[in-house]
Amino acid sequence: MYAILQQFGDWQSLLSLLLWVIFFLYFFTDLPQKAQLYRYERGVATRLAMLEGLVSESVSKVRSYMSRLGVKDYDRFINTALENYFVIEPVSIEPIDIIRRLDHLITSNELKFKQDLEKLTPDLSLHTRNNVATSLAIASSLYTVYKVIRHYYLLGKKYENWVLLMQLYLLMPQLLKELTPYAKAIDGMIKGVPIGDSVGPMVAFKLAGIAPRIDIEEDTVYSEVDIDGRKVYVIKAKGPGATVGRPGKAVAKIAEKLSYKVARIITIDAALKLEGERTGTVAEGTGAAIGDLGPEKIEIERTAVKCSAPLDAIIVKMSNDEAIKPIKKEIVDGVEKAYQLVLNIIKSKTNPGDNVIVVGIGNSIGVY
Amino acid sequence: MPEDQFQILLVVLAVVLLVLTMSLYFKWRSGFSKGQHEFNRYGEEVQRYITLIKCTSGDHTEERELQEGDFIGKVVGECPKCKNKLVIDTIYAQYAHKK
Repeated sequence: MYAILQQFGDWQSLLSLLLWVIFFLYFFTDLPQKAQLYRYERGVATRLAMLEGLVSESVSKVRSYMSRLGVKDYDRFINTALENYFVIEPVSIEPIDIIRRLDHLITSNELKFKQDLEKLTPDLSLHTRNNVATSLAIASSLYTVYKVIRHYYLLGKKYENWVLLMQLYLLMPQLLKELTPYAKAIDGMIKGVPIGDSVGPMVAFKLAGIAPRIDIEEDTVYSEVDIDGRKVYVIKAKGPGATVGRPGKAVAKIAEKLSYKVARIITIDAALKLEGERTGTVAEGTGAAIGDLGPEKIEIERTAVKCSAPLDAIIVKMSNDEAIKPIKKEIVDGVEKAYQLVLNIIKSKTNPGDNVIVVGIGNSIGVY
Repeated sequence: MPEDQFQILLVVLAVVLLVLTMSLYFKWRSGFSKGQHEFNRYGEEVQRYITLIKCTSGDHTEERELQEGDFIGKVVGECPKCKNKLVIDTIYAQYAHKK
């Protein structure tokens, strides 16, 4: 060491040389990029491991739930459900009948899943089976996201594509924040408590109370109630199991039954709030408040046009994670406001003797 | 620039560089545990579930913890005042925010 120091004169010269070396390495080599790539890669790997933990957590919750229900051979079914039951979108360059084709594909896929689940769990009630199906659907969504992220991570690592890794590195914290509630939501599904998305059925319950539920479509019911001389047909998914039913087709059937003599159609649903907006805020607009892929929404719109009936949309705002987690007090307060708004619309914008259709859109878990 | 001043500048630069490198290194290291911290921070935990029961005539309300099998619309008994049906009106979760 002393010899080296002697060679360079004194320690200041050594320091100067060191600075020059650092300067050279920084500006004339790929070392900083390599270091950055390593940092991104490690960051993504850490968060990917956390995402994998979320998937395992949700799958093990479903597994223990099914085990508790006494379902046999559930492991094989869970593994199959995680990988299978995807839907290939219909051809869109030929738009004729696209809604019918899409509806057919969705219905076929749902039917296939339900039949497989029914074979496995013949002794379970419909509601419990729906809860199992929804819990499994949540775990499956998490697993799909995990697989896609892992794919891009491995691609980025394989080709040392730092742009890809950087994008993942920046995206992962937000993604984890959005996905964590999914794993937690399974607890709510297992307990059978209403979630944020249940606001529509909850408003429907407030209107219909414990009036008899009449089956109108698969997993969909309606009740007839009298509100100040108006005949109100309240449609909702069949509870208290976790299902969203087929509200669009139910609206079409009831309107047909009434010979399209409908004065007003009111839809109530949960809607995503913008950042900064308060959870549970209620807003009123026009249109069909329903967030499906299209088949149900178009049925409601077409029915409204056939009946020449105004179509009201009432939304209760919440964030993405609040929509799938057990319902919180702020949203329950929003349900009461939405209910009062529906009553006000019925009383002020329709006349005694009119037929009114009210549709509580959303997941009916924990709601009769 | 005199030689003395140049040497002082070099020392200052070296110290700044050292401090920067150290701080970046520690920040990077803490990133690994930060992941777990973020994981815990995300979201809120359900503290308890509340079941609100109301009489169909609206003259009686009671609140209790959620029991297995509870759902909105379930008839849970008779009103102690008017003997009408007592129905579960609302179920909601109380959340505790993580710090």
